Amino acid sequence: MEFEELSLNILDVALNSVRAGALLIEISVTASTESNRLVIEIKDNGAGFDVNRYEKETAERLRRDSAQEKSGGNGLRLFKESAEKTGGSFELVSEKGSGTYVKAEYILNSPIRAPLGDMAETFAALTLCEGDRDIVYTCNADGKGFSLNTAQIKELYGDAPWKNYEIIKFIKEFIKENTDNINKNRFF
Amino acid sequence: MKTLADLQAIKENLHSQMDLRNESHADTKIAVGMATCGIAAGARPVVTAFSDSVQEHKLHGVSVTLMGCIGLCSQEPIAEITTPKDGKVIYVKMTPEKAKRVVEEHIIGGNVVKEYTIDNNK
Repeated sequence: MEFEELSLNILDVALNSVRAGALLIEISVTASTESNRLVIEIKDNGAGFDVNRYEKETAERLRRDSAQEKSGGNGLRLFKESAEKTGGSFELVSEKGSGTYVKAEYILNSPIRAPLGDMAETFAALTLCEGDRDIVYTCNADGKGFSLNTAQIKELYGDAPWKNYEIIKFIKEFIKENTDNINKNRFF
Repeated sequence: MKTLADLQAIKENLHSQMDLRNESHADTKIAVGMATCGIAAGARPVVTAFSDSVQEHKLHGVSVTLMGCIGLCSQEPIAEITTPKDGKVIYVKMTPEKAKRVVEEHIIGGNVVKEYTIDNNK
C-alpha cells in the first residue's frame, strides 16, 4: 500500500506528533537539482518513543500478520518505503521525553517517486486538530523558499479564537501560491 | 501573492462580522477519522468538504476536527456527527459529496442520513 502523494504521508506522520502531545511540529520540504534529492523532515517535541522497541515490534507484527494493510500503525513504515523504493533513505530518531525526528530522502527525479501533492490541504487539516500547538512549514526548492508558522497567526490574534474559516482559507492560498511561485512545475 | 500582511486585513474583517454570526449550531461537532487507514481511504478531502460546507452555510459554532482510528478501518473514511438533537451518529464510507449531504440534511435539516450510517452499512 502507498499514498498517491507525499503530502498524505506527511499528514499521517505529523498526526503521530499531534498524538504524542507535541507543542511544536516542524515540517520541511527541500528540493535540490544539484544533489537530485527531495528531503522531507518532520520534527516534534512530543513524548518521543523507544525506537529499538518500535522496530522490534514492527518486525514482529509483519511476521505475524502479513495482511498489514488493514490495521493501523503503518504510517512510519509507509513513509520509509516511499523513500527507499526510489533509491533514497530514511532516518528515525526518537527518545522518550525528547521528541521525534523523521527524515525521508527521495531521489528527486526517480520515476517512481510520488509527487509532493497538496501541502496546503495537509497543513490546513493539521490546523483543525483540537488543542493548542504550533505548526511550521518550510518549503525550499534550489534556494528559493518560504515558510509559514501558526505562531505568526496567533501573535496577531492574541487570545482571540483564530481557527476560523477565513484563516484556514488564507493558509491554503498562502501555501499554494508560494509553492507555485518557487516550483514552476519543476520539482514537486 | 499572499503574504502575512494579508492576515491583518482578515482579522479586521472578522471583527466587524462578529454580530452577524449565526451561533445556532454551537453544540454540533464533526469529527473525521484521520489515522493511516482513514487517510488511505480518502479522509483528507472529506474533512475539506465538511469545512467548506459548514462555511458555505454559515454554520458558525460547528467544530470540524480530526480523530484517530476507531477500529473500523474497512469502513473508512468515517465521520462522527454529534448534534444536541440526535447525539452521536457514525457515518461510514464517506466522500466529499456525502459530506455535503450530511451537513444539509442532518446538521441543518435535523434528519440523519440513514443510508450512510454505520448501522445500515454492516
